[in-house]
Amino acid sequence: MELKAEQVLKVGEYEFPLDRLYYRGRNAHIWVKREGEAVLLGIDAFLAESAGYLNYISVTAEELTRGEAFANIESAKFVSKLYSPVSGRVVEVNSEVMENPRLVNQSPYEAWIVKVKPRSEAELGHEELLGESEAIAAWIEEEIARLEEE
Amino acid sequence: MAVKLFDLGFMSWKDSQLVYHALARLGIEAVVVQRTRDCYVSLGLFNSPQELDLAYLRSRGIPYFRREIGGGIVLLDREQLFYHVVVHRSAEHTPVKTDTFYRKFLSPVIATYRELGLKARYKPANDLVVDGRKISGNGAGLIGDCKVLSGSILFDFNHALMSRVLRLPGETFRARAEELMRERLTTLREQLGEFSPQEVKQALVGNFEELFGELEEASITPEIAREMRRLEKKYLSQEWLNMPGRAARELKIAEGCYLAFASLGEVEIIAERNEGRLRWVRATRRGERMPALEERLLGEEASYEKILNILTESLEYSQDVEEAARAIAGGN
Repeated sequence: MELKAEQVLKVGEYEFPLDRLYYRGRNAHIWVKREGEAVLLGIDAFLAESAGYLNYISVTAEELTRGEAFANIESAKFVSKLYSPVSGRVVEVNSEVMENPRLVNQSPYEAWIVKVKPRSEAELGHEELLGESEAIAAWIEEEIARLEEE
Repeated sequence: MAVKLFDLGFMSWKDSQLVYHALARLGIEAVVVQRTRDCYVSLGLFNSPQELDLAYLRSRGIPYFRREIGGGIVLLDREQLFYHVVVHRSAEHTPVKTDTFYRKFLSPVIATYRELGLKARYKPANDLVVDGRKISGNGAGLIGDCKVLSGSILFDFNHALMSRVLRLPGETFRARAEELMRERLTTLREQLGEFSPQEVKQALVGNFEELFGELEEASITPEIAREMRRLEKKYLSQEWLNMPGRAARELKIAEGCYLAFASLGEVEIIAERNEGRLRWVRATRRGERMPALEERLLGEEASYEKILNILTESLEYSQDVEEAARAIAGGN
């Protein structure tokens, strides 16, 4: 584990900017970043790498419920789901990413997928949203160990 | 808990799809082997029904289904043995990486082909090939909290019908698509002549047992049947079936082999892209062949810049030329 000057946590080959939170519920690997009263949701580097190149993304919900799917993604003919870390309402979908889903693989922390207005501030305070580098590192190390066992 | 084996024989077209969706929703880890009594078309989650010749399907009474997993459009009939693998996403035996998932759960299928004397191998993303020809296609995805792999062993295949059920840009394209399918897809019938479907199924089950340990024989319980009927309402609803999908820009025949179409007003180009090169080209102006353009394109690397150069030199430059070059080059 290594914490760099620009506050990016590096665990194995994966980077995790510490200016946002990471949702480990349902092993979702979704990041959450504040933007005014809303939050941006995107895919972390671990999921972007393990899923492979994304061919398609579709957002399937306007009203999000924490722990429920809000989008489908397809890579290598495998359709997977993205689970929302917060309950709230989608206020914007990133059309650039919908047009070119591979942006997510190229720059997972720039290529946000949806902008969401959380139902309340408490949505950003639950225990499955990780912000501390130690907690993120411990989770990702578990995930890497699983990959290595494969 | 042991993974269950559902050896279900012949099922109706819709039950052949609903069964693995229901097992996954109920979180029942299983290997399902079965066949369909009826001929039908199955779309991947992101395919559009606009890719189908719906009028033709209606006229022949061929239904279509949109599955909740990936992969492309497939024609399914009684001459195929389906296998569906349903595993919990967080189970120890379930790989996280998609590539590893395919390699692991397709290994029993490869072993089965090899027992039959065929040198099958895995070709990423998820084709199985014999001598470079596709012999099994697969799709996969997450349903509920289970990962599902669904594929089939082709006993035989109706290439003509497959090319007919698709909405394609003209008869020349359709004829080439059928030719390519015959060239690039093979079947047990073609490879072996005679074989026993029962023995193929037994070998497949045995190879899945090598992977999972002994499978626990199971049958459709009332709970599973109820879930299938519940899902039927969703999956056969017009809203689900007609959900818009991605715009198909080309026809994929097998991994690495595509048939593309470009229209520039009077000029139409059909190009087969094979492992990154143009292997077959048909260019016409008002229906008349354009041999000089065909010759320049044939064998060329399928890169946007190279194709754009050729088209610009051969035809008057326009926005359409750029779009045509992009269509022919595909993702390269």
